[in-house]
Amino acid sequence: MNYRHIFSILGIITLVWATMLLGLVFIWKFIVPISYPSESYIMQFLIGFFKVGASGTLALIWLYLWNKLVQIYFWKTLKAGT
Amino acid sequence: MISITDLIFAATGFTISFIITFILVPFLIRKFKEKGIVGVDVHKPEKPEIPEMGGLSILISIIVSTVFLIIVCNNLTKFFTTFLMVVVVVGIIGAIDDIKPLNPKLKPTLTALASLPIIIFGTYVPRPVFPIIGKTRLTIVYPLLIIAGLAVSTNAVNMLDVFNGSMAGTCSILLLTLLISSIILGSSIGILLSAITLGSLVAFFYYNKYPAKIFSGDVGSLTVGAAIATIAVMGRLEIVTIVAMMPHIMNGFHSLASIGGLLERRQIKARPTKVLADGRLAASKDPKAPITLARLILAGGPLYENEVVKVFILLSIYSGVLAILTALLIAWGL
Repeated sequence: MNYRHIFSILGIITLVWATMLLGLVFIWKFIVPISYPSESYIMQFLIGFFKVGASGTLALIWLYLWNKLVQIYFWKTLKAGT
Repeated sequence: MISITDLIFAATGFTISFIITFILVPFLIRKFKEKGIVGVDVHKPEKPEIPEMGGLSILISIIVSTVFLIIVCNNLTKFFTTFLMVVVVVGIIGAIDDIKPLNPKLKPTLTALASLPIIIFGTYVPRPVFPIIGKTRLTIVYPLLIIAGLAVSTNAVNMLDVFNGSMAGTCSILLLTLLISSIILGSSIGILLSAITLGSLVAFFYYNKYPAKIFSGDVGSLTVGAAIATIAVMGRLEIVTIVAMMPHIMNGFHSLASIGGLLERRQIKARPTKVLADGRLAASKDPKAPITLARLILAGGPLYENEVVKVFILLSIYSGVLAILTALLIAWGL
């Protein structure tokens, strides 16, 4: 069994876990508190929409990077084995 | 808070579901062989025929032990009834899929709709707790996350049910993680429901491990996935479950990302792995094949089927440790 390869997969899991927690903290500390001094419902809606959009975009970027990391690692390992 | 009574009921529920599954599986093996309900074990050179739909024993044992919990725990009846409804509906969807394969887009839709009892009966708290952040409030978004979460969990578990003992083994570790995390976080619902599902899966693993005497079928994998998602929501173990499910999520996410959408296993022409002449499995070099967790593991070199499952279980144990660490971070208020 290729233990080095298995440790690398464990490393990916650890990285994904750590960045997920850090990402959640980032969203909660920096995006959720965003406010605008206005009583207007439209403004409140727009602010809410922006928060959801910004958090969603960050989550998508995170998923994209995770997938890219695994793809690059997979093809590199497969080619190295042949 | 957890009482000693909860732990006694959890131990009793575990024993009931373990015994039922343990007794039921040999009976199902005989019956399914007689009726020709069998599937080909494609990862073995001799391609043996193995009885399918053994997950029916998991569904039955979960039903019986949940009814036991409804009888003995009067204060949590609403939660256990909801759990029962979700699991039975998803189990039926799985059984139908085993008999007549469903459309690959219809299956996640139906499993997502099976989450409705949780929303209708209000057996959730829309304030998930995260480490470092603490309690959050997701009043509007949370019900939508329940619907999505159930579809993701059921199908992620289903997608990892590819080798002998892979689903039962990894999900047993996952449920043990949820049980330990429930004790850490003081979730009675989490302890009781994890214990009964774990009991059933441990007994099933005995027959499903390499070389498998029975397959779980979609009735088993979808039932287990639904049970895990419902425990996560009602036991308030959302983030812990996501971390513990990392191997399942990785397998599903990278597969779907590499083939670009929802496809049924039989619709994918390029297989992720191939069986070598000596019985070992190797990663396919076809760029169109999905990057499943098994293919990722086999990129490091060919392995026997039982070795791949051992790596699956190792990854599940590691994810379980990270999940328990996450639960501890929540409990310590960090």
